[in-house]
Amino acid sequence: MNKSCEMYQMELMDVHYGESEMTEELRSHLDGCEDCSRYWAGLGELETSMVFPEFEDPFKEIVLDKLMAERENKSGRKRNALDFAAFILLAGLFLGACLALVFSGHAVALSKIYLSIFMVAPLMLPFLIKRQMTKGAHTNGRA
Amino acid sequence: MKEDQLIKAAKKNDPKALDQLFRDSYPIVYGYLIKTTLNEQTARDLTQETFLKALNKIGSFNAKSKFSTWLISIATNLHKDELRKRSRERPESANPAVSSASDVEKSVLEREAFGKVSEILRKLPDAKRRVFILKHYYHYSYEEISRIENCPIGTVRSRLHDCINKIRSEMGVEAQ
Repeated sequence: MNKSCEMYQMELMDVHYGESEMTEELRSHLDGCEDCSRYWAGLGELETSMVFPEFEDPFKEIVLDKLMAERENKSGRKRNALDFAAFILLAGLFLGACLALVFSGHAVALSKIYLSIFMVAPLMLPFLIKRQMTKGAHTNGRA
Repeated sequence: MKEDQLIKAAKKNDPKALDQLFRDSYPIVYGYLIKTTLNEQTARDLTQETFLKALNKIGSFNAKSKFSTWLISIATNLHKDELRKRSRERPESANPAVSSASDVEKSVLEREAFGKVSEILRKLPDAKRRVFILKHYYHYSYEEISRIENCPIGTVRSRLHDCINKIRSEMGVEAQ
């Protein structure tokens, strides 16, 4: 069965692009077929006539900077989500512990601790602020 | 650092490794897209989208192929999406994602000596042009192209053959 020139040309294309090796059958067909010889020569010419040089994108740095900023945002969002999940977990544990104390009969003691925190913490606040300001002034003075 | 080490580090969210990978692959992706779209702005937008997608999906990259091949696959799919989107917006346009000669009048494509080559590429249908570009300029194997294009190897061969015939006839017309 004779193969058509179309098929031979596809095989020549495979050879040209390194997908297969040149065979004796192909070589003898090339010797006897003007059309396929022209096709074979045309494939070689494509290498010089279809040159399309690579060139740098002048906006490459801007695009890459945008991408890196997006990566930062993405990891920031991920960190926030993790922080939120950790907060929910700790808050749940704290609430659970409080409820456990209440149901085990320590409700009064818990209320006392709770109230003392709320009474003492606001009273401590001015002292804490003053201490922080003094520390800041010392640091500035040294600088 | 070698590519596989860079990929491992990038998967662990190492910004330097990611930056290096993107910097190394940028010319390939941009070069491929500029030949495919023949429009600088579209090529730049699609390049950015390609890297953005890669950034979000780098964890799923299995390193069976080269990193640049994976990026080219993403870029190809984005180009197909862009063509579909534009054909919905402008159904009357025959070859919508490829700019007309007037669109790129002042672009690098026209200024440089390879304006004639871009003119010939512009006349090829999109899917066939992509196959020709992948084979002729980037030397991907038929198998790789069939994976990138998501079509059988036979289709890749026939598309490439059609492109060669079309280019030969275009060059013959110009020579006359």
